[in-house]
Amino acid sequence: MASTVDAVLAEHPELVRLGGRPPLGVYLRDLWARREFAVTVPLGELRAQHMDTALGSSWHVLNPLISAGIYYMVFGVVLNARADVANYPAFLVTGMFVYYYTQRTVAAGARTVVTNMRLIQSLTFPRAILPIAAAVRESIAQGPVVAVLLGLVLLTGERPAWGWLGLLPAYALQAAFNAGVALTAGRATFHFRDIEQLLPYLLRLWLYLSGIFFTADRIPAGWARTLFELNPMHVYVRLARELLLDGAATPSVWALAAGWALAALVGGFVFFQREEGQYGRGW
Amino acid sequence: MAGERTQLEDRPQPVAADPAVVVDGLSVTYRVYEDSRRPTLQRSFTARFRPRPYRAIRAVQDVTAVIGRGEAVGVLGRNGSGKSTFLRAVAGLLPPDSGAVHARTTPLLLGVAAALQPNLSGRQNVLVGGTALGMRRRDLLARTGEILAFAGLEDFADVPLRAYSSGMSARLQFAIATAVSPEVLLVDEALAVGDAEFRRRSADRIQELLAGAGTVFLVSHSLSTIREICTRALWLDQGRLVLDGPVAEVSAAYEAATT
Repeated sequence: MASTVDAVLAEHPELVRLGGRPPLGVYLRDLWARREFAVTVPLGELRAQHMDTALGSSWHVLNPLISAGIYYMVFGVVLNARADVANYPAFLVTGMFVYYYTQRTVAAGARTVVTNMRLIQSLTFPRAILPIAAAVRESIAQGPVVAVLLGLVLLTGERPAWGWLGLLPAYALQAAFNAGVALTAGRATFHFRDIEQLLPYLLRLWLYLSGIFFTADRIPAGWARTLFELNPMHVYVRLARELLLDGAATPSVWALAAGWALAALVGGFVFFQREEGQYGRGW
Repeated sequence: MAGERTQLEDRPQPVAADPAVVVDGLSVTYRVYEDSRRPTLQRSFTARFRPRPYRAIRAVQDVTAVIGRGEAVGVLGRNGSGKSTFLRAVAGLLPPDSGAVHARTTPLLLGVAAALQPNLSGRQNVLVGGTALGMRRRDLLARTGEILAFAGLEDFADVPLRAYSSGMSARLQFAIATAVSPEVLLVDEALAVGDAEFRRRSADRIQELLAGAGTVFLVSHSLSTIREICTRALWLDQGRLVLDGPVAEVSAAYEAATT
């Protein structure tokens, strides 16, 4: 019996073994072949997501705006963080909008494997497309958010500068970073569902640690300040602020932003893909 | 059971001249975590941190079969005999514990479990499902009307899928899956939910696939559907292959054993 099968397989090399983890090259090619899926699903979801709320997709802008209002009261007025910065409202709003972009992507990415279990169990496709599609969706949604941000910054009295064009590459770098974190969170939640419950607290902690409401000067100089300035969230927030409020960003900040983007994307992809073939084993 | 095993091993195995799928000693085991019998407050806090008791369910055990192009294979068996697990493993969706499945291209599974998005309209779902299967968006946009017409859903094209009946969404899935003309199509009870008219049309579509040297696996509890469509049948019981042969012979033996 077994010898018959061996003979058939020896005679027909075009029959390949299914399942498991394909070589990286094949995987990337498959991923590229499904690129339209990675755009079609998010576009449809964005359309469906807001059909039930009266304010629709404006919530993408309203959420960070309302939070910024609350933090302005608490940190800006009560704790007087606004004394450190020339244009505190613009400083705060930029921070909030940049932070919320990553926050939404990570939260969405963490759920992808778990919520798409039925899809995973009924179709073969490179699983990494799921967290990537979530990152694509949030990146599309971020477009109008940035437009609103520019309007708000103009309202606070800033003038448009050529440096604002730097927001485009900054946005691309943050998108790559977000996709990497979404991939990591997708696999982590697959192993430990509890992460989904824990994630809002972790993200809030990250918000407080990333200097959204205060400047790095509030941290005592030394190793603590260095750690604070290496924090990728702070890097992307600082990059956007320097571009918008100073008209240009420090080269070292650009370098950090690019380094984090590359490290997160490659690391997250490798981490996620190692478990490929196992994601269907849900229960 | 013992008599049937010898019967299987004595028979000359059907070997296809032009193989499409080779199932080689396939075994799949599920780990299902069991709930502790008497949940207590203390246990509900500590349970997560110690290894949970689980039961290993050997859903498919050492199944071997060589299936050729142009063959329609019915998979027979009682509830829980491993039919659906077998199909999912053949589609490469479940990692085997031992053995392997070999095929030219990844078989396409058409199951009752929807791969579609409940909040999107039928039209949007054609795009989602089609691109998930690797079709080009441009081709899909041109063929959306034809796909919806095959599923008989023109009037519901813009209604969100969650408002569809189970028969309607199964029809849509079948229409999308067969639009890509897969080399190997695995159908798991999906035809059972359609009405008579749709069943006839889908049987025709399956015949087209077979005529084009495609291969079809069909799981159904309806022996008449299997007899009508299939040329060969596999009978599974408790995950083991009991009998493999021409559909008339296997279905007769299955019918005799179960009634």
